[in-house]
Amino acid sequence: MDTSTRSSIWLDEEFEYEPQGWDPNARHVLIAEDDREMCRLLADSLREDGYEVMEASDGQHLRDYIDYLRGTIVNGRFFDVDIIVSDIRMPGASGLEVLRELRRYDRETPVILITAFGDDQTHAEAYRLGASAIIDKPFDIDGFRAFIRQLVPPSSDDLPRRAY
Amino acid sequence: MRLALKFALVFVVGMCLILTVYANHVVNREISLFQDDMRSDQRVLCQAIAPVIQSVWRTSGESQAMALIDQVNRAEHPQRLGVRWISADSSVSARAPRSSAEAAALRRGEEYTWGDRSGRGSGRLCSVIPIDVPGQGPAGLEITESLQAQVDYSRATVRKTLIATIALAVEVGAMGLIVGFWFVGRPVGSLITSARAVAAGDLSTRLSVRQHDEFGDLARELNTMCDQLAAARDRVARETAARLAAIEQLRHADRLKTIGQLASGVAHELGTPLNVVWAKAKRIAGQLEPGASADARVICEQSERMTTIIRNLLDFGRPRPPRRVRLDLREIARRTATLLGSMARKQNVAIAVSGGDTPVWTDADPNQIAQVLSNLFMNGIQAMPAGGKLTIGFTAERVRPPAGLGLPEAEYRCVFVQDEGGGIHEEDLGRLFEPFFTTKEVGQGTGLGLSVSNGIVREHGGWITVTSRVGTGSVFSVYLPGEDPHVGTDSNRGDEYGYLNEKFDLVG
Repeated sequence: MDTSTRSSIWLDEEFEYEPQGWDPNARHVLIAEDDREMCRLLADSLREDGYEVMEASDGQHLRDYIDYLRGTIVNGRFFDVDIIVSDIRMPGASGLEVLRELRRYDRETPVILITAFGDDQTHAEAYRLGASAIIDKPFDIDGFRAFIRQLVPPSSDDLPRRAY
Repeated sequence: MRLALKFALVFVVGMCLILTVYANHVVNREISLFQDDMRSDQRVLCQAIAPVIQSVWRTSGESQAMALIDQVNRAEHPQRLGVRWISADSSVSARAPRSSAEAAALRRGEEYTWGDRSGRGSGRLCSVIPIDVPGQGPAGLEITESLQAQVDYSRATVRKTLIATIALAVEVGAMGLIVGFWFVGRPVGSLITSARAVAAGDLSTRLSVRQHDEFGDLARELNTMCDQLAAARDRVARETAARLAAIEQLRHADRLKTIGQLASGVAHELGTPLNVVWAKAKRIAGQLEPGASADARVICEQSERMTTIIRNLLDFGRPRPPRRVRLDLREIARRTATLLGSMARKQNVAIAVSGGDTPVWTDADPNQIAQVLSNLFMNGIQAMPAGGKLTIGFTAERVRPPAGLGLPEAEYRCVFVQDEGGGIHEEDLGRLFEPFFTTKEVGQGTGLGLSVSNGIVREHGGWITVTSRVGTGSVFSVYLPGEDPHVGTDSNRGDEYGYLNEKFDLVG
């Protein structure tokens, strides 16, 4: 895997919204996870499946991403992202809060929340706020990849191509 | 004994006082009567003699009259009764008045009586009667009578009274002692003994005072009091024991809650790293040559196992309320048996689900019931390491739940899981549903399975019972309430978790 295509937002690395080598025809996934290894695991797995992956390291960075994406809204949905996967408990802002905020602008993009705190209340709250699914850790990585593939295929003729 | 003495003393002293006063009164009365008698006797005598003496004096002269008096005297003992002619103006001592009062009475011409205590002996009673005789001036007869008889009489009376008093005192004293001892002292003594025994803590002593009086009543009441004290003491002991048990249970629950929170916290923290380990192991397994690949697969399996443990720990710390649907217990049992089929086959265990043709309906959370049955099936399989048969059966009948659960007698459905394993020892039976209690080897289980299963079943309004015989096997019976006849049979609702979990097996 070509690491230069990665766009990671960690405190010690540069933040880039549009790195080189970005494939405009691929489906984009935005992952927000504060555990570094977990984030890398998810991102690398989805890249293998053919997705372009953006990584956010905490709630504030996720917010920054959402702010950027607001500027790209077309027909009521973010133009530059096809799926959002977010941890719930992160420093900065809770995944649930960010979900509530982004749902004001985009009601279509699937948002998947993952969490180690799997109690009923959290699950109910997630669906109420507009999550498409909430998954308890630890989960089977292959099942996760299959789920993402089923939700939004890596490339599809149905969704509009992006023109850069 | 002291009481009896007091009685005796009081009786004796009282009696003596009374007798003394009485005797004194009697004696005094006798004496005065005596003296009155004597006085009137003397007067009568004087009055009888006086005319005779007057007549003799007039006819025969003074010497004849004196001779007559001497004659009277001789007839009587001089110490006892004496008659004397007294002349107020006489200078002859034999005729002189004894006292000036006597002389004065003579001169006044009055009769006069007085007591004379002078001289030896007990005294005398003297009377003087003036007799008018020519040529004598104031003169008369004086009669002197000894009071000795009177004194003797009173002395005898006193003596008799004293003897009677002493005799009575002795008798009354003895009676008082006996009565006091027999009717008071002895019963009181036994009461004292009993009271001492009660004070020392022995509430079982019973008084056997059978008198039909106040002491008998007292004894009976004391016996009743002892009975009630004993009952109250038992009640207090029982209540204290119950309270201690309740406190212990609260402490236990508190400990469990703390452990639960601890376990939950640990489980949460482990979730993410475990996810990464599992995923990486999967990746490695596909990339290595067979030998190392097998090792990597072991890492995967163990990670899945750890996931199950973490799920159990999380469930233990946070039980979920059941989401009930109408379900057929046979279906759940069969599905679970199928899921565990390969594991059972590996251990040479045959699973037989009997059920007949009648559905066994109940309103329950299918995932949770499946979890319970899965737990019980696995336990049964693991109890038969050398193989055997796991029998699952169903009953539907009206049952009275065990006491202490707060559940009503009603229609219940039962799934029983019977194994042919080594059985469970009697001392372990009571602890089976305790969290973290396990009879398995270290590393074979967390000891939470039965505890979580029991929690789920209790949440559904049911219970689990165990019967076991060492060497023969065990039967676990899960009782769930029968279906609610007022609710429809819309059993296809399912839930989103079930949908997700079934379809994508995200939890492994």
